Amino acid sequence: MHFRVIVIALLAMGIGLFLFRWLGLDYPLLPDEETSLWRLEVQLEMQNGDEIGRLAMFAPTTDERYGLVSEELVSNGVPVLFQQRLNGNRQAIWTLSEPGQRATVIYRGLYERRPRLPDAPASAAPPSQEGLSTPLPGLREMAAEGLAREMRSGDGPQEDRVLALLYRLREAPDAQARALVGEANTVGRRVRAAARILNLSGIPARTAHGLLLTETLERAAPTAWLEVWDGDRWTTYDADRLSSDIERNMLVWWRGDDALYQATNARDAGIRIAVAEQTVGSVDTLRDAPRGSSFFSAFSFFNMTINSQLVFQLLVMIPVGVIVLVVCRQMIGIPTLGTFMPVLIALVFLISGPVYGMLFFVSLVALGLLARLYLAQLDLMLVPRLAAMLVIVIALLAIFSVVADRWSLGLGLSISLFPVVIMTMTIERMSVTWEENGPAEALQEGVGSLFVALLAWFVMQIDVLKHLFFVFPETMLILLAILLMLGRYTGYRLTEFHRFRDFGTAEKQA
Amino acid sequence: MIGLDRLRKFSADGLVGINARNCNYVYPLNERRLLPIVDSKILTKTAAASVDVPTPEMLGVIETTSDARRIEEIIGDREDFVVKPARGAQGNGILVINGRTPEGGWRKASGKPMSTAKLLYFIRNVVSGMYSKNAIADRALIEERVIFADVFDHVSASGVPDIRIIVYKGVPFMAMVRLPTTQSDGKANLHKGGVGIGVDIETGVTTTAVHKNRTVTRHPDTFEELAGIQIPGWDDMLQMAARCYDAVPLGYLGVDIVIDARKGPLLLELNARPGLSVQMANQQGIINALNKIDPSLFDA
Repeated sequence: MHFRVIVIALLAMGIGLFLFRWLGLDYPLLPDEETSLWRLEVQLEMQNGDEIGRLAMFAPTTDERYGLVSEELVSNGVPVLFQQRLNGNRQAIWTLSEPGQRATVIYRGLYERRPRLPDAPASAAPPSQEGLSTPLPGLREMAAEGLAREMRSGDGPQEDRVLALLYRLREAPDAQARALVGEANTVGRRVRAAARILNLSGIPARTAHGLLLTETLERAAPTAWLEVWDGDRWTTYDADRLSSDIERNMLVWWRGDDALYQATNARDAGIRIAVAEQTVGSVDTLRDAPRGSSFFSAFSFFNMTINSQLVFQLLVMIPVGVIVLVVCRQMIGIPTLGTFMPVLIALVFLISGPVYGMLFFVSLVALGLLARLYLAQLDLMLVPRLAAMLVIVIALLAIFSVVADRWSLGLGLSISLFPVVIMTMTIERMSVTWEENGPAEALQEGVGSLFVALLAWFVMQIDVLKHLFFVFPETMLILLAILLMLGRYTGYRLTEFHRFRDFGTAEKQA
Repeated sequence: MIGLDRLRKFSADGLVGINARNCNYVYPLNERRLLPIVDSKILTKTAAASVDVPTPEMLGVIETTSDARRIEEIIGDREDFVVKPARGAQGNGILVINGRTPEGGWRKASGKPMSTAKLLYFIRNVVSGMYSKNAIADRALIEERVIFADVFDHVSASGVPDIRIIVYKGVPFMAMVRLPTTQSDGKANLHKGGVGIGVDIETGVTTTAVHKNRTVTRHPDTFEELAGIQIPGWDDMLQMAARCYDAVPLGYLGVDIVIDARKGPLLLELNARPGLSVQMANQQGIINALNKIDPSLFDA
């Protein structure tokens, strides 16, 4: 009786609040299609010469399109500093002091697209000519001067003249244009030439380098746009599509004619740029969501910083995974290692994908078991042996992290989430099960855990659910009610149909 | 549908699954404060003694790892003894020593030799809690070795045969004999490969049997018939099981008994959550078995 009242109260409260937030306050039921968080990772390798070497790389700027959420620099002990440069550029500068030193440096940034694109900020003061463009090499500067003269004498709106110039550079019908853009006629070269020509003709213009953030790329290359001062603001031109539409997805990295990075007295051994969409369902929706009564907006995750929102997006999915786990254990009867281990594995899957996650878990447990097997031969006391296992697990995690960092994005984060102590106890439990009840049972539990983890992961990665549990936190009351009901499930487990299959088949002889 | 047929048969026979066992019997009938007595073999011994239920004689207890050396002093010049973790579960961590080797070491029940150093290491592991729940520190119990009566000798060659009686609110209502097999490595636990034989609760005669969840009529090692064995002193055993409830009033209690050749039935341990495979062994569900008892017998 008491139990039913509680369950019904929880259900009523959860569903009621949910309906009110949905219908009354117009919170969106389905997630937005667009994602608005992007992760950029640049990995640079370099080798020092005989003297002190220096590597300077631009770091993306924040503007009206994108805001910086967080960034980090990994430099293996190479000293690094950020420097503010002309045009609002930022540079990260690494210094190599030992001759012949080899280093890998990594820049990681998390960028958030601003919800609505405001009008480009108007500025009364025209920009100074300084730092806009640099002279082109050799004959190309003369060709640019020629085109600049034509530009000055032309008339019509500035936008038309700029587009005409870009068209001429793209098609390169005459010798002058061909001399400027060369055989390859890359966008970067075209933009640089156009900026120079416009500067020489008295119109402030500059190159903007950056990335169009539209898809996840393991290897991305920065592209260039032309920015022209039209009297009170900068207008962006796409030198390939020949349009002046402002790209909403454009992440400006740096401005000017410089290359992405400059190495002084050091040889670069390769660069890799990757961008990844961070799937966070509904950050856009959250930002734009109506703020109803203050009580309700206080009870949503909207008001938190992006980083906390990311954490909570993960956190609110744990109860969903736990329900899957409870169903698997109580109603199906799948054996698992430890109580909540499968949900923890599912979390790893969620962050690093099921393939890497599985590889990670299986190799960690396998290596851990090997280590445990060896320790068992040393006749160690229990507590020191467990402590030794803990150290070994951490060491294995460290090795995995380093390997993962070199080869793929993002696995590092998932490793830091993995509870080391639980992992250690899991390995210990599995090895005791192995010794006492045989490898079959230990493997059964391991495979069972992986299976439940996969199932939990599958449910936890469904976008609609992610959105629902995040935007409507009261759904947790419903989950709680379901869990309470599962706690009173006294029916047979699915596996018991198999276990008791011979029940009632034997004839009594007595 | 096979599943639906089975479901009908299971419920018609009153078969209880693990969820129902926990929710309807273990949780409401077994008070948590009594569980530590059941979990500790030492506390169980004390409780049993208070109601005149005999247990294997305790030779000594080793409390700390540095204490382990006292083993020599505890066993004196005995040839055989048993080491048990006080809080061990499912028969794990039990070491049976049968005799001494000429080199000054020990011989295990399996016949394999064990050096004194290894024996001390084993005891220290037990004390550190290797076999106890959550790896918390434990005590090692040194007991006399039970010399098994020959009741089941013709059926089962080696290991520890025991009798489990399920007691509901003080009334023994279901029982089974658990016989070890070569597969179960001398242990009688059914999930390790032991054979469970149902026992007629009134007469103490064995009936149907189960091995690895399949019904069998013969022992997998000796191929001897399992049904129709009369357990000697059955009424005494039922009395013993009922008295255990007086000592430890758990409403749903499993009582494990061994028969010693010299001392008769001895209480081995108590179990607070028995009763799934006993249904298989007897081919009878708990609910139906309970329905046969006169309700006035139950302790209110």
